[in-house]
Order: sequence, then structure tokens, then C-alpha cells
Amino acid sequence: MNVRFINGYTPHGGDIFRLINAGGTFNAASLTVNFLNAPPNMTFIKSIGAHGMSFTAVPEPSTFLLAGAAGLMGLAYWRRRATATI
Amino acid sequence: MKNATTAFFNRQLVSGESSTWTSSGYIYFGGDPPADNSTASLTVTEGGKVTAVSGVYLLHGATLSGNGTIEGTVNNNGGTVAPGTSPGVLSVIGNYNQNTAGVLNMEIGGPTLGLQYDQLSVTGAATSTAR
Repeated sequence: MNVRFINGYTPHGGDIFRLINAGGTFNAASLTVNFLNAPPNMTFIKSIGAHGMSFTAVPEPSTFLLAGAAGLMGLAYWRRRATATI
Repeated sequence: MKNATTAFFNRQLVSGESSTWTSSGYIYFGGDPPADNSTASLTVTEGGKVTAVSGVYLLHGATLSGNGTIEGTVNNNGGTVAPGTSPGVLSVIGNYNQNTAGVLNMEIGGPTLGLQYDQLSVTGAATSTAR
């Protein structure tokens, strides 16, 4: 199974894509998935249910760390400015 | 042809609302390499419906696509199934079987089902022996 990302789309964390939906039983758990043109810093968790297959977008930990670091730098800058004002 | 109700095709487009194509037997697309390396396509656009009482068989070189409906079991035995004509939902009223030679190609271009990403929707069972 090939899953290709098109139009430069980058999912948000938590986005769910239900690619196979079966009214009856779903029996393709061993299906190998090849992601093509996948956005960086994002992984996709495969969920196999009784009636289909979904993928959930999850940002990679490094993305969280970068976001956290940026937030800390912003907080430090804000505190320095606040102190200077006083 | 194997019998009067079995038909082999190379290129078919079932397009438009209420467009239908019905076979009382099998419908085969594609070839059996190396004797037959032909390519074949079956595109069923939104509102269109293909009915094959004994099932649709996709062999080597065959591609099934579109937003329409297949009524009957789809056996992907070496072909490619690609829902939509860009992202879209391909519906199967029946079962879907895919062997190790079959390929399922899906596209994701946004979070909205059918408009931005593909789905294969099957009313019956979906089975794949591919790894």
C-alpha cells in the first residue's frame, strides 16, 4: 500500500485519515505501508480496527523539543523586558 | 473470452451521474505477463456504477480509479486500485480482495475525507494478503 502526500500538505498533530473502511471484517493487518513524499518531523501511527485502517499524524519528539525551546526563549525574553521596564 | 458472460477489457470509462455498466458474469482488466503486458484502466466517476455479478478482476497492468461504485467483489490480483481521480472515495458494494501482487495507492492532500484524501469504502469484507 502506497500513501502519497500531495499538494505540499503537512498534517497537524492528531489529524486522522481513515483510508480503508469496511462494513464487514477487515483482514489486512499485515499490509505494508509505504509513505511517499511524507512531511518531515511527522510520524503516522497505523490503527487497525475490525472494520478498517486509519492513520493518525503525530509530531516527532524533536518537533516538541524545538517548540518547547522556542517557548522558553520567548519567556526569558519577555521576563528580561519586563524587568527592564520596572 | 472464457465464456459468454466473461469479458476482457483494456480501457473503460464509466462517467457521469447514473452511468452504469453491467456484466452478468466476470469483468477482467489487465493481462497475464509475460504473455500479456498490456495496460488497462477502469475509471468510474462520481455517480457512475459498474456491476459485475461474478466480480471484477484486476490483473497485471490494470488500474481501477474514480469516485464511483463497483457492485460485486473486486479482486486485485496484480493491478492497482487508486480511489478518486485526485483524492476521492471509491465504493465497493461487496468484498475487496488483494493478493501479494496487488497495489493500493492512496493520496493525502488535506484533512477532509473524499475531497482531500482518499478512501476505499467496502460494504463487505476487505482482505489483503500483501505484506
